[in-house]
Amino acid sequence: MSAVWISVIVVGVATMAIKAAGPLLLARRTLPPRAQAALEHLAPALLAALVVTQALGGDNGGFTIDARLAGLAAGATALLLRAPSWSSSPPPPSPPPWFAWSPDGGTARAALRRPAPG
Amino acid sequence: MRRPADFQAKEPGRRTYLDGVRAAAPIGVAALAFGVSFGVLARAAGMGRVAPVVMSVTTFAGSAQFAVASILGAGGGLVTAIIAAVLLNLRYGPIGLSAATTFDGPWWRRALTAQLIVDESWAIAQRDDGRLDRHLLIGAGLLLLVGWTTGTVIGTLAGDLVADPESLGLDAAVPALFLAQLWSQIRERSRLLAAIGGAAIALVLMPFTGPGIPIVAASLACLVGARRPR
Repeated sequence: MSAVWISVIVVGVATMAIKAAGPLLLARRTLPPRAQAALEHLAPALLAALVVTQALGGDNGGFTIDARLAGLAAGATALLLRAPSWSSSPPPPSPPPWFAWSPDGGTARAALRRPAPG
Repeated sequence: MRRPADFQAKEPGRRTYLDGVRAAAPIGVAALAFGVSFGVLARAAGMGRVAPVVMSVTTFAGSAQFAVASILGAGGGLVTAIIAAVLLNLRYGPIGLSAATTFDGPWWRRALTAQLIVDESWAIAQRDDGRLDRHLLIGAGLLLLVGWTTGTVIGTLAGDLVADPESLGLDAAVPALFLAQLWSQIRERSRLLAAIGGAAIALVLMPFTGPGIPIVAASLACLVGARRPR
């Protein structure tokens, strides 16, 4: 079996098990507070590492500076302005906090419109 | 915990699945676009046409899927890809705990509906009393699942037409996608510290290790959260 299918199956089964664990097993129990608090900080730590490695990582380790940094800067700007960048209409007065998806679509589209580097 | 202020119950009326679909509609559009870029990237990473779609249905977690595609695509190896993805999705452990009393019925139905938990459907389903609205969560989760999977199908098909996604600048969009997800995760100072710590660990390790290892090691930064239990 190829590495691709092994990863798809293992990650899929693991994710489904993680999601189902709470509703199946732990309806009334809770983790120790410190363990719970650490787990809640896993996502920001990992996502920040992903931002760094995806923006700066080279093909063979080390760092590479290229258009990805510009894309990151554009994404950061969109987030700071909280602009729903997929629409040309003026932004709503107070976008709900979960609107964090909007820069995703906008950034991807903006990237698609960029002239090809090189 | 931030809540979708627009969807706080003003009247104590019961929410329906359709309310959840409506609440998630704007994010559903973005999930579709995000799914397209995952499909294209996964295809470019050599994952083929079918595997990315199967992954979108079963794993149904954007950042983990992007992690697998980019690590495999960079030649980072199977084990690092799996570890990074599973570590990314470990957050669904506590999120699932918070939803433990939301679902009812036999075990298989609870396990199935729990699969519709993603960050966004979970946020939409928050109620005033601190519990989750099952109908909102299921409606929103279903819409996001359909959008995400449809996008992935489109992306894997478009991957045939697009020889080199880097020439489209799609690789430039990926860090921004993670940044947007990170942005919604940072709700308090300790989470910002965890993010800074994770980025620092990754930066230090990147010159010395293969792809993937810095991400896995960065998970240690979550320990800043254990200093001050709430």
